[in-house]
Order: sequence, then structure tokens, then C-alpha cells
Amino acid sequence: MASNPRSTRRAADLGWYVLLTVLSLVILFPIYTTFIRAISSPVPYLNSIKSGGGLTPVELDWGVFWRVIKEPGFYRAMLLSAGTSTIIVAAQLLTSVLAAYALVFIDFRGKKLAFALLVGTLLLPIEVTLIANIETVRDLSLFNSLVGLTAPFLAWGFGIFLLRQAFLGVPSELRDAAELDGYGHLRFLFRVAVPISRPIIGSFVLISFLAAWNQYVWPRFAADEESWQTIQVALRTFGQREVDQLNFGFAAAILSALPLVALLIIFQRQLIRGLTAGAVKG
Amino acid sequence: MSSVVFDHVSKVFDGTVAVDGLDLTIHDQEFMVLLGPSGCGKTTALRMIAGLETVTSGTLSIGDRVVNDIPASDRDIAMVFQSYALYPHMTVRKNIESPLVAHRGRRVDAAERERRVREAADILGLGDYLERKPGALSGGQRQRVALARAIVRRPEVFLMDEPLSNLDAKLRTQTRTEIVELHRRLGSTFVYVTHDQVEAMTMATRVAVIANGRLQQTGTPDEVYRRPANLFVATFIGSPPMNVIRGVARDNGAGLELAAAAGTLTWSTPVSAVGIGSELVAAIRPEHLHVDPAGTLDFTVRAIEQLGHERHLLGRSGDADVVVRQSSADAPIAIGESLRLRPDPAEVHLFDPATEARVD
Repeated sequence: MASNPRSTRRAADLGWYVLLTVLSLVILFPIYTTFIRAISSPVPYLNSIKSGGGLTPVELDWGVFWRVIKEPGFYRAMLLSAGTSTIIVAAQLLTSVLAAYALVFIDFRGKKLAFALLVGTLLLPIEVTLIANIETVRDLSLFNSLVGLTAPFLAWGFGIFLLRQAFLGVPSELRDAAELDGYGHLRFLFRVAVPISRPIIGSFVLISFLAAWNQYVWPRFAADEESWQTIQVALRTFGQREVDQLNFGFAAAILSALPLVALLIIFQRQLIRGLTAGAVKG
Repeated sequence: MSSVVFDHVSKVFDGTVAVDGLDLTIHDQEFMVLLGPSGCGKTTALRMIAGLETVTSGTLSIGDRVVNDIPASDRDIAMVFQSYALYPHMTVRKNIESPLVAHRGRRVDAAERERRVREAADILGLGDYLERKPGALSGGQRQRVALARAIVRRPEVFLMDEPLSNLDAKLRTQTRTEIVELHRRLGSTFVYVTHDQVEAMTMATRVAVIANGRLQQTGTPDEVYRRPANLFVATFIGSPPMNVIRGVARDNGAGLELAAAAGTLTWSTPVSAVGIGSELVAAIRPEHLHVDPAGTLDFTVRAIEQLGHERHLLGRSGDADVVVRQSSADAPIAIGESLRLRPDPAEVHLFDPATEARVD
């Protein structure tokens, strides 16, 4: 019997759902185990692993979250992360918007090379420049300072690339019309180009904040005093506790991710729209 | 005074000549249409008036001022674009008042601004839409916002780059009339670019036909239609286009006639500089060829297009494709039929095959 197109399609849909479910489980599994370890009392939990368990919570300890919140070090590290991330996002936004504007709307010699170099920096992982940058920061006596923690991230090739794509989508006739109306460069940038590109700019802010918040390698090396530890660095010390407090680190990890989860939920529609708008014009 | 004068103006892009030694005077208060096929340089010419393209050589003046080096925003012009070029994030009101806000030299106080926006919106029937954004408007309404944004500047010269080509046929006809009305009302100079000869014929006080970066002819729509200066203009203007028949001049006893592959053609206009044996190109409009058993040209019908009020016979005359325009009331004709055509001698246009210039 010939197969019914509708049932074929239903089978294909089912296949996709199965695949997505499996992938979701793979991605969610570490988060699940972190959560289980956070809410289980550490000693009974370790015993349950020995007897083949570990996938279900043991002797619930919800109070651990409250203990993390009351910990002064956690507070301070969260605030420091929020501060450095905000500085980095604001600076990247400004530098990306200005650089992308020049790359799209102004003709100058060496434009293609400049763009290639800027985007080329994306190919260098932070580890490549780490030692040189740490020495620079130390020579400038910027260890344990906001400047030292943020300086290498005030501009980001990815932001320049993304905003360049956004500005390339501004119709050329709109630029002509703005020129005739009498908009100068700055006014055209902030009154026309930026407002039109708002979806992409919104998603860039989110991506930039995520990256800044999740920094580990740089703040780990650019600060050696405990009071200059960002949350990602501080989590490491929270994990090194007595055996009966081992769930403290896991609970702190979960709480430290909450601001990101909140941002993602609020902006997820914008994030997806911004990323696809950059790829497919219009 | 707001004439626009091109004095031997050229524009070269990376070695490609877009506009080649253009000499053209657009008079004050004139509705000048720059007409030509796409890529002929007409839009480049318009953009040079706007200041969106630089002039490679020659002198361009608006009024009595040479504007070669004057920035676009300081020229007393306004432009309407094919895509309307409205700011999508601004309301209609903000779009219309934009030229009065963006440019320091044009800034006016809030009351005057409001008055001018109102006036422009009233002229174009946009009063109810001022707080909407362009995305919530139809194509025709968007085009009107673009026109209002031009009006509010009170420019000496209006520039329009194919402003109707994104509208559907019905709206195009309506907006055409409105733009002509606007020209009459404002009394400014209009320069209008189009490839659509119907727009040129119906709107222009004068037409400049441009091809390959060069000016082919200027004149009233009637002049370019009735007396094309060269073979390009002859075949570009008119729909269906003029029929082109090539041949050699010879003496038939009573005077000169054109001997072509399909027969002979005579003309009644006096022609100088044509001698016996000269090669000639004759052009004749489809309505000036008549089916007549006593005609002098052979014609084989290959297709018939019925348009209701008229019909077009498409076929071959010797080595030439020929179209004959007839009334639908004429005697029926079958496809494949061989006929004789009688050209109207008063309506034959003659051109030199080498220079393509008119010879009479």
C-alpha cells in the first residue's frame, strides 16, 4: 500500500522530536546532577553514590541556598561580576557601533584589511594572549582593579562583525535620504542606523553579557586578592569546603546562573530574531 | 530662480562612463522628465543634481550657483526615491519633519514646523496618518509621505527617481495625476527620472531622452514623438515601437523611393543629402501602415494581438519584423495570411544607417 503523505510527515516529525528530546537530555543532565548535589545533604549523598545511587536527591537540604545568599563572599563576587560585565557590555556596545559604522558607511583606505584584522582576532583564543596581557596588566600595576579585569574586553571582534551585518542591512536609499535631510554622521548613526538595528543590538547585548559574566580564565589570573574575585572564580573556592558542606559550591553555582537565566527568558525572542536577522537580510 | 544647467557634465565610475558630456538646461518651473532604458545614466544625472554623486568633469549649476562642490544637504533640492526611503522607526509626522529637524540651516521653531507638516499632510491627504509608522501604511500612502517630506523643505527643485515603479498599475495612474497636480500647485522645478514612456509623455513639459550616457533629444513629449531626432528615439518612444525598414534610395521616375527587401516605400517630406544609391533606414509607426491590396510592401501575418479597442498584427516584411496597428472593427485577418501594406508617405521618418541621425 502506498504511504500516505500525511503519515510520512508525522513520522518525520516524530523522528525530530525524539532527536531533540535526546539532545535536551544530554544537555540538561549536568544541570540536573548539579541540582541534585546542591539539595542533598553531602555525607548521605556520598554514601548513596557508593551504593550505586546518586541520580536522586538524598536528605533534602534546601537551607543551603539561604546559607549561600548570606555568605558575604558570594554577595561581593556577584556584585563584582555584575559591575565588570556591565562595563564590558557598555564598552563593547560603544566600540562595536562606532567601528561598524566606519566599516559600513565611511570610505577609507585599508577598510577591508581593517575589517579582516578585527574579525581575525576572533581566531585567537584568550589563552594565546594570556601571558602577554597578564604581564602588561602587571607592569601597569592594574592587578586587582576594575580596569585590569575589564580592559582586554572593551572591544570584541564579534560585536563589530554582528553590527556591521546589521548596518549593511540599512537600505542605501535611506542613507541617501538622510544625507539630503542633513543628518551628519553621528546623528545618522544614533537617530537612524542604531534604532533600525535595535533587534540585532539587543541580541548582541545579551550575548556580550553572557560572555562577560562567564569569564573565568582572565579574572582568575588578573586578580589574586579574594576581594577581587568575580563569581566564576569565587565558585572554585566555594567548592573547597569541609566534606559536610560540599553542597555549598553546587548551590552557589546554581544561584550564580540565575541572572543569566532571567535575562535569557526575558530576551529569548529578541536573541533568536537578532541572530537570524544578521544572517538573512530583511 | 531655479533652473538646473548641465554644462558638458560627465561622470565616470572606475573607468566606466555613466554620463558622457551632458549639455542640458532645465528651465525654472519646468517638469523635465529624464527618459531612457535602465543603465542609461539618467539616475546618475539626477543623483548629481542631488549631490549624491560627484561630478567628474563639467559644470553643474542650480539657479545661478555652481554646485559641483556643494554638499547634498546644502543644495536647495528635495528628492523622492523609488523605495520611498522612509525612516521605518519614526512616525509619519517625524518622517515629514525630518528635513526641518536634521539640518541646522533649515531648522524652524516648533509652531512653524507644525504648520508646515500640517500643510504638506493636507496637500497629500495624510492628516489622519501622522502618528502611524510607515509599516502600517499602504505603498501609495508611503509614497505620499515621501512626497510630503520633500514638500516640507520648500525646495527650488524636486528630484524624483522612478517614484511610481513600486506601485500597482491603478495607483500609478492616480499618483501620476497627483504629481502633475502638485507641480502645478507648487510652481517649482521638477526633474523626474523614469524608463516608462507613458509617464514621460503624460507628465512632462519637456522630455530629455538619454541612452548610453548621452543625451539623444530634448523636446516636448509631442516633439519627441512626432519628430524623433535619431533612430534610438524613434524606436524607444511609442508602443508598439516604430517599424524599422532598411533599404537603398533609387529614382522611380517621379522622385526618390526606398527599395527594401519587401517592396518600396515613398515619403512626402523633402529630404536633403540623400542621393541615388544611398543606404537609408525608414521608420514608421504601426498605425501608419495600412492593409491595402494596392500597397507597396509584402507582409505575412504571424500573430494577432487583440486589445479590445484595437489589434496588432505581428509579422514579417522581407527581413524586418513589422507590427501593424488596426482598429478592431477592420476586416478580420487570419494568421499566415499574406497581405500588402501601404505606408503613409507623410509619416515616414528617414535616418542615416551609419550615424542613425535623422536625415530630413
